[in-house]
Amino acid sequence: MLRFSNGDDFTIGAAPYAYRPAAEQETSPRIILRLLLENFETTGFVDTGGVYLLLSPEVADNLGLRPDDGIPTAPLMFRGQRVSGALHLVSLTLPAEQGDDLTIQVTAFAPQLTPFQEWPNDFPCILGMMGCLEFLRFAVDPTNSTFHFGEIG
Amino acid sequence: MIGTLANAPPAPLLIREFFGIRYSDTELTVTSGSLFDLPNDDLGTAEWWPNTNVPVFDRKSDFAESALSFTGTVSAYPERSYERTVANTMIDPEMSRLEVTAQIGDERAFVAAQKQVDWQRRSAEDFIRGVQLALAAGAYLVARNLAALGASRFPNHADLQKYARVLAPPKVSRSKRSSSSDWKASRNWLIHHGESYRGQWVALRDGELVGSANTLKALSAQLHSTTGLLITKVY
Repeated sequence: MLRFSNGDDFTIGAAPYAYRPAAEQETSPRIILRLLLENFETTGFVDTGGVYLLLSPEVADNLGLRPDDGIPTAPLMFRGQRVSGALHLVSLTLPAEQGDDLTIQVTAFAPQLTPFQEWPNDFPCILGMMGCLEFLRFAVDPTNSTFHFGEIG
Repeated sequence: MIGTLANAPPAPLLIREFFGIRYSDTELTVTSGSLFDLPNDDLGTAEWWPNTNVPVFDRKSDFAESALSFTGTVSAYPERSYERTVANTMIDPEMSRLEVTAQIGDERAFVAAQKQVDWQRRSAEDFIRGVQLALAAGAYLVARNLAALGASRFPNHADLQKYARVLAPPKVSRSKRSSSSDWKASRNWLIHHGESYRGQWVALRDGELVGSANTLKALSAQLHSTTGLLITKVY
């Protein structure tokens, strides 16, 4: 685990990540992590410029998130299209390969596509900063593709 | 007498910078209601009496009525052509500022406008509307703070409590390492076999394929339980 100079823990767990484009038509590699959403395991990539946890419609559906259960919010611009949806509270766990798992109660955007909309490239989930990663300590070690994470305080 | 701003003479310049009008020192604006959904060059209709001075809000100065730099007040021009276009509606200047700034997506102006709202005197519904507008404006931190403030002021209001809960700062907790699937083995499977499943959803456990389908829904239907599985789309 990573530690401060005084010996205190900086992180409590670490997990390998894949470094590749998130979708077939993408060219820029992303840090893609394994996630546990409630009891559903999938992958998502880190986007520190984004907000909330952006779920793919299929994943949101699989989690049983109904629009009426969330709070309405303005449509998001996602890859050139306005996507409506609602915000929900979702439990996200980063499973550790070393150390302990970390579970975060995050704000998640569950898209509601219109009949004529398609989720581009079936994008995986996206881990944004505000409402998701913001109160997490994390560090990336590119030499062995390891994502270190820890709780604050 | 009713007049449209679009019909006013060019004397009140910077019309694009106006977003609200109200009677001077008497009562709130009587307008078409929501000004925010009108084109920039047509601020809707306003009702006034001849020679009434009409204070305006200036978007350039964060909607501070007192900070007008170009004119101070604008006189109405009742001699132009007039017609009643819509029923008159009382508007709430504070909330209208939020509506307008959210509509135009001006986060900075929204943040400034919400600071001028006396939230201690606002209803639970105003808080909810404020949060929704903050989200629309991209002022996510304001949305969170407003929801929290509203929830503390109205502890029995179920919707506000939900807003506050969903928008609250993430709560982080540690737990012992789960006994879920071996990510490395599953990742190796994707590297070595992913090409054959490109575009499909797959379920893996400890590096072995448990199921695959074209959609997540179809895959889920195949699985008795998703516990311990890595489910992902293969790219």
